[in-house]
Amino acid sequence: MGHRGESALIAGAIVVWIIFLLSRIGIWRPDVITGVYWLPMGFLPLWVLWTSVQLYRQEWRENTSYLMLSLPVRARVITSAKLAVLVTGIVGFTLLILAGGWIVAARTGFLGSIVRHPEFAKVPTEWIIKMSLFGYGGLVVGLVVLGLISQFAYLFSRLFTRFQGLVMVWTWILMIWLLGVAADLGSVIFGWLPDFYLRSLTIFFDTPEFSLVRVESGPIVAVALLLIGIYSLLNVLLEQVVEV
Amino acid sequence: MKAVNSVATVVFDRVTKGFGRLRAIDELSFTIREGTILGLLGPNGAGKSTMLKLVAGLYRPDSGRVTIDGDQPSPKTKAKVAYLPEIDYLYGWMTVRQIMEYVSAFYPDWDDARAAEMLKFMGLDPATKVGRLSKGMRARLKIVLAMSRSAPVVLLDEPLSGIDPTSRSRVLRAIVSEFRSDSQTVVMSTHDVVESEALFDEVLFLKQGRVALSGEADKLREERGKSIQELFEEVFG
Repeated sequence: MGHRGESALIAGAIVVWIIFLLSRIGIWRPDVITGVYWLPMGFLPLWVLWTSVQLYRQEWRENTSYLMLSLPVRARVITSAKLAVLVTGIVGFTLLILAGGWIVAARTGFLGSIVRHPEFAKVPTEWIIKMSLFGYGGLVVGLVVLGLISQFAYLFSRLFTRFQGLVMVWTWILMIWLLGVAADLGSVIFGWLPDFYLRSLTIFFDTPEFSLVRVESGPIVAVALLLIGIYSLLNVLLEQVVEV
Repeated sequence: MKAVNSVATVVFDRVTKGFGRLRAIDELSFTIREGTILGLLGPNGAGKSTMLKLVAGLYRPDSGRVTIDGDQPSPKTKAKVAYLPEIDYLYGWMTVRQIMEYVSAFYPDWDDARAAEMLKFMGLDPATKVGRLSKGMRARLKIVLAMSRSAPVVLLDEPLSGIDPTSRSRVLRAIVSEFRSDSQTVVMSTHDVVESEALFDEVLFLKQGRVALSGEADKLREERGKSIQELFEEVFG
């Protein structure tokens, strides 16, 4: 894809950042190096916003929309392919960032100090793995949702001949607001659905203590339904409404 | 179910398409007869490209209906249409080979042997990146992509645009040699009538989105005692 150069550049920048911080070992404090490492990673949501819109915008800017829209395929083939590109980028970058964080924390000795801490031994490995996967999954899903909303906002703005940028921004804001409304309504409408529980760990006086945290299913189901609706609308827009 | 490579009839039924205050196509009703090469003629802004985009499903009518074999433009009809736009619409970062593989993957009527033959005839190197091709070579590639299929409807929007005179005759020869009247309908828009008039079985003169004149090319020549070029000058002069 044409985004390969851009992705290689970002990946290269992350690697350079890791190497730079590794060169600061012995000069800066370990916790400072580890802390500073995560600061520029806030670019990831911005990259998702940019890339998800660019995946479509470029088609119109370079007139390849003529090819894309004349293909004899349902819109979902195109939208899912573009989401797949986005997911690949998200997973690739997050894994690179996490691996870099691991290396930086290990080389500075920060990771070792945590692992050697007496309380760490009391945390079950199974719990660490589960919560890490849960957190990582949540991060990826959150970024994909951000991308989906941005793509919808862009395609919707193409229905207007003027103020497309403004329409896109307002559509995006409206979608975020709607997600909030859906979550609120979901807790009422789907209140009958069984909730699920996460085990939260606290170490109190050297004793690990697990408590159950209740997570409501209703808002999650409502948001998921709204997202399915937005994705369906995205397909309708692409297949039946937008033009070259 | 109809076979993909049967000849298709394209019908415009009181179609209007506007952009702001401008009516590019204005209450147009016309049937493109199957198995013919139709010359879509008119000056710039006559609505030729809009008409082709409506058939290709890239524009939607404001009112009226466009149908291909009775179906409104959809993924189903897109499988029957090979569309060559006037502008550059190919991914510049792909090589000629890659773009051909990409396009061929979507169309069951793609003919590999025909594509290879046309590629050779057009003098295109499969390893060259599309973005590095000259305008004339990109135009040739577009012809290869459109004519390597056995699509029932082939839409060629100004296929000679930006091509040097020697390449023009090569492109026209390719269109004629690859046209299959038993299974294809070709619609070719142009305002260069002199070079291409020999190709046309039928012509449609479009003026401000309306039919100014239409009919079988030979009949029109005979009845009016004028060439298509002369008729063009008469209608639009």
